Amino acid sequence: MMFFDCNVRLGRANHPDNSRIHTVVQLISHMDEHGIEKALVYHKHALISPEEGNKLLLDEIKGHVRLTGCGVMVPLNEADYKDPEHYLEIQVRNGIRAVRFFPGINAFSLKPYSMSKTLQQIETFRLPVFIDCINPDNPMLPYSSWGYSPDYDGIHELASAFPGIPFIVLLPGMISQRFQYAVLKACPNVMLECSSFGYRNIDFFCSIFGAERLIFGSCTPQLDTGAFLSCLQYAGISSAEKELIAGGTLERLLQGVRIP
Amino acid sequence: MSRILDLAKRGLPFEGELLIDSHCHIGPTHSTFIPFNNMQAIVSDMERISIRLACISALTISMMGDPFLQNDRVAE
Repeated sequence: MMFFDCNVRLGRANHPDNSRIHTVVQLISHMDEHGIEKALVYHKHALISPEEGNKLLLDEIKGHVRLTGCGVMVPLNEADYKDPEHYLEIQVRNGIRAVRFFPGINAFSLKPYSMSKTLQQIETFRLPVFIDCINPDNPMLPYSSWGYSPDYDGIHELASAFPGIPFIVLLPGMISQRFQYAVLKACPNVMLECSSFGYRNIDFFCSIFGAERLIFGSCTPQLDTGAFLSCLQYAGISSAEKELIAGGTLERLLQGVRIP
Repeated sequence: MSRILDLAKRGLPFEGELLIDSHCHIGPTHSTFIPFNNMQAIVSDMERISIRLACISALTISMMGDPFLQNDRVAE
């Protein structure tokens, strides 16, 4: 089975325990140890400065065919970006193949008034959008998502307004199943990273919505890669379904990106 | 590589190993639904993975609900 991890970070964090894997060499070695073939990676520094961090990311992963760049973005505006009209186009030309938003950490709204202009550009390039609602005020995150729920109302509103964009909810929450069920039912373009799930949620969501609505991600290096690998390996679903979740669907989404 | 690690990486059952699940729950809870939340499903999973024993309690006893009723359900 080919594993393509959609949720991997490069770059040092502000705590040594959280920075044990922060270089490309360390990451590749970690992936080899866990039998992970490919990873979609973002850079920690991009949470502070998207422009600088995304450039660092592309510089660091250059020549490493197993690593694909995921750019961190805030909504396009003239203060955060030197050239908001062309920023995304340049990023895609340079190798960015997906976009990740941190509305909690970067303090912005997922509502259309904040996001529409950015998503119109994203739609042009058919980039998959990863939403990470992790909240810096909750010290348990991302280590335990018990009691945590992403902004499913905001995600629903965006996904309904932009049905051509695939939205992947990262860290979907251990006890947020009612939100997850409702948003998967209402929006065919929403998918869930199958980390932080509760008991047999992979089996359940596969049986109701199909395996193509789940994507494997591990939140490496903050969370334990092996834990989420095991959740998928031991899920009570078919091998074909596991292969879609492990990497098949993510690969298909990335192949659909339109490069200018 | 240890045998257990090798089996885990390949998603195979832990036949011949002693595995005891020390933290297992059953029953509904207030804040979410839990699919396949019944004894047959849990036992079937244990057999599939080769877990010999599980220490099980009702999920919501510590948070809400009637602990006597829920303990009775677990005992059943």
